[in-house]
Amino acid sequence: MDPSQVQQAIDASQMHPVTAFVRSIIDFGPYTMFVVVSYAAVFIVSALLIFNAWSDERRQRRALAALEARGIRRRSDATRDAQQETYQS
Amino acid sequence: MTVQRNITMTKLSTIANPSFFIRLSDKLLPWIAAASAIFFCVGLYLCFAVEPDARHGETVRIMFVHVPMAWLAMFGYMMIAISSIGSLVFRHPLADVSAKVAAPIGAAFTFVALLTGALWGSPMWGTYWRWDGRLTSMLILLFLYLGLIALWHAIEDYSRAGKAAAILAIVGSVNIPIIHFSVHWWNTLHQKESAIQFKITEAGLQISSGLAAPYQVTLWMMLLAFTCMFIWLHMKGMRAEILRRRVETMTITRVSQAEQLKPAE
Repeated sequence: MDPSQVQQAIDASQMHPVTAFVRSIIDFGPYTMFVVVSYAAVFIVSALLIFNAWSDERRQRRALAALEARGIRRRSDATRDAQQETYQS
Repeated sequence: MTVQRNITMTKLSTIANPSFFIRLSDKLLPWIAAASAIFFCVGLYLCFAVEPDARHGETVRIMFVHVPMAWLAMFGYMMIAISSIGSLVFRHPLADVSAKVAAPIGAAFTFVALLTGALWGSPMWGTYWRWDGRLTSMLILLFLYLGLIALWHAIEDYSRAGKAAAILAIVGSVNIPIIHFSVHWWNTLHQKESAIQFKITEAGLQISSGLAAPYQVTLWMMLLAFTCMFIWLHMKGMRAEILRRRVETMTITRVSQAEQLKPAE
């Protein structure tokens, strides 16, 4: 759609200019719905996967920090510290 | 020979060490995210800038998301199958973590590949779904992914769950060549591969494409963008899973320490 057609559409329907601009970009004729739904599905699923990966790691880091704050340590960390103390003494 | 093999095994076990993996991914993740973002910016611009195809019209734009999703759905399953071999043969916990984390990501990509395929199929074939070779084998792939996720959640013990899931993953990997060759073996609605074609001739292996240059460039950009995103999600998921296992081990330690401190009755 060229700019003059967009302007005509705005004038005819009293459409908000932003809405008219978006419509001019995502106008794929009779296939608009198929294309838009495909990209929307990809976007939603990707966003959910990214958010889940990010929040899951954050949750585990907090849980680990809470346990370490209570003085609980992994066996491997405790062994490494004991070895370091032996070397130092 | 034995010394060389031992050195290789030591190097492999250093790389596959969970703490080393977390340090390495700390450095790699920002670069992978940046690469993915750049490929997405260029790819998405091209997706909407290319001219409509003569045969598929405006629906050709669906191809730029559908093909990467389908490719990564199979890539994800191959990753699980290879990790499962690593888990069963070398019994390495990081291989186990890799297989577990790749399943939900692969399932999501397979679901989107089926959905975008149906949305592309409706205007092109006149139907959203048909029980033909390619579509049915992709649906089986989704069920395999869901089966793996269910198996992981059904068995509480990590090593037992990992072993059972690894066997299922290796057996299920037979579906990958079926998906790939389904368009050659059976008469399907789905077109034969046109994005990348491999041909073995007298001159050797030849790689070609049935797509016009602008579509090829756009598809490769989106393929690289989604592949980087998949690797980022997988690495991030592996880090969370390693930390989850540490938290559980430490919680068990805490409980056992508390029981030892309890005065005897």
